[in-house]
Amino acid sequence: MDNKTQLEIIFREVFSAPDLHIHEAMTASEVNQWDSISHLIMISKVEEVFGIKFKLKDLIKLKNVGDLLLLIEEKRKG
Amino acid sequence: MKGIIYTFTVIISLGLCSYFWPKEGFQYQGISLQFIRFEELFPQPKQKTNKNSLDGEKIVAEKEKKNYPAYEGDISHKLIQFEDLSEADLDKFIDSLRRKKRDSISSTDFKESVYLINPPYQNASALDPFFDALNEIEQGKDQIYRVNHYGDSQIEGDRMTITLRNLFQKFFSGNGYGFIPFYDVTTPLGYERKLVGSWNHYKVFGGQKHPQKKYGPGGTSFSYNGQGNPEPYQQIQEEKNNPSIHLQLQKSFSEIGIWYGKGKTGSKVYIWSDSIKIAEAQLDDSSQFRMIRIPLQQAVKKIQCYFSGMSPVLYGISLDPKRGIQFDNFGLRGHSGDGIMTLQVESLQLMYQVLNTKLAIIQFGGNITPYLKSEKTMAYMKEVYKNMYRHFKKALPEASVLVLSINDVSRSVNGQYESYPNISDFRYIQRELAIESGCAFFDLYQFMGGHSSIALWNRKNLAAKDGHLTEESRELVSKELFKALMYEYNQYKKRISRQEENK
Repeated sequence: MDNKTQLEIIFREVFSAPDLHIHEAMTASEVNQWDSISHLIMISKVEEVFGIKFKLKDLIKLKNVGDLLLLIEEKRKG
Repeated sequence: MKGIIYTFTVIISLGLCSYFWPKEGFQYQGISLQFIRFEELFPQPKQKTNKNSLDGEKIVAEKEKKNYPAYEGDISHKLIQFEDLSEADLDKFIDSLRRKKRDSISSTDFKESVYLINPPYQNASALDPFFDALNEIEQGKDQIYRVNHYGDSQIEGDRMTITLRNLFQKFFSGNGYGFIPFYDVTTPLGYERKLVGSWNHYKVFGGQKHPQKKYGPGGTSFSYNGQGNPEPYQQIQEEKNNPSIHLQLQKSFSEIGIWYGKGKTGSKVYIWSDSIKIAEAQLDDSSQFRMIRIPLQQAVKKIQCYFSGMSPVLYGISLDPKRGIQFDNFGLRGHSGDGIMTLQVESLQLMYQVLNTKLAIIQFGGNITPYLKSEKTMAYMKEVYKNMYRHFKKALPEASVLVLSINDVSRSVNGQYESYPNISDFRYIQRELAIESGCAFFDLYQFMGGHSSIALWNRKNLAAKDGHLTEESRELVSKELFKALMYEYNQYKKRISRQEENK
């Protein structure tokens, strides 16, 4: 399973949106339950599922789903 | 003489080097040679940006124009690490609040509160723009000044706001309920509301988001589906699905405000009271945010607004005084507050200008308490709240912002209720960020007694274990906040008097 598909599964679960399709330009304003709290829950789920750890500076820089996918890829390589 | 010439030559040489040295330095074998630049030695005055910019210069200029009385308020005695009250002392404190609650408030009750911080902000105090508005009301200015109260379930359905509104309106004139959303998850205090027809409800958090991010200042918006046909009245009764809102009020009103935007040609609202049509108005202005005040033919307690034509973006209704102070409740259940940043600064600024908002009260934090588990999450939330307070402050360059801290919240641990561990620290973070951003701050957490205080408030039937205040404690807290604000307002008036005398 590629990173995007795996991330989509996490998004569907955390944001309680079974039909959600993620895309690179997607931001919090497009997802009904996405706010700072659910963002933290989502990030912690991503860390758990992908076996990676984000730094605070990484999290602050994230602008959209595309940035998150790139970061996941970087962390998995590194 | 030789020495003077030598020194002069060196200074000239260094000056020339400084002036002509390239910005990026000289590159040699991967090494960059830098020299202090002329602009750094002799900085040029900053050029003003365009007139609509929200930079500090504009804010300072506005403040100078306003001529606020000079303020050098020392808040150092309030920037302390508090000790939590013992249970016995807290018990006595709560009982004293309860006793005081029975008495009506007079000016002798306005005493300095260690929990309210009104920091200096650009030669004035953070609360001066709000106090300026209060002062103008006292001077008889024929205008409505608004306070927008933002928060989570602690304030939803007009909780806390209603007490603050009643107290300020008692002292500074005004009446009415302020902002009324078309729909909310909670039953409002003071009036009944029924929404009829097929409606869409958009929220920045906890519901459907608007596809074009169109929200009112409270982070919500509404639209109806289809097109109503509101006349004649008999027809309205037969067509049960006409998009409409029905209000049953405790007091009579002779004017109603409709908050809307992106109006369409032919969109109208017809206002009825039972079988009598008492007003109608076009909702066709295509601008982003309008508030129209519609005079009613008679003062009524029962109001039905029927909409026809294509739906504009509807934000809500307001019932306001002709002049004085008005408080709007913008409660968002379950929210941490950052969703308001979905509205861009410029949009919010426009709305606040239309509404004449002079104070925003920001009361968020309770919902993040379960997630403040690590340094990383604390630091992340700090960043979120820093951006949020700054966002409000930028959107309100000519108004005040007051941050109300998180209150104590507990959770069950092995069957016993205990406070979440990092609330105290996060309250200090909120205090630091509020002051940094030019906002006033009220330490609700410490006012209530600090760590684990919620257990006693709960035993005294003043709060749920999870931290939600009861009707009685909301009134206690709001009254104490009011008194603290009024003390600061009196200090402001003394400064004004001194300024007048000095003239």
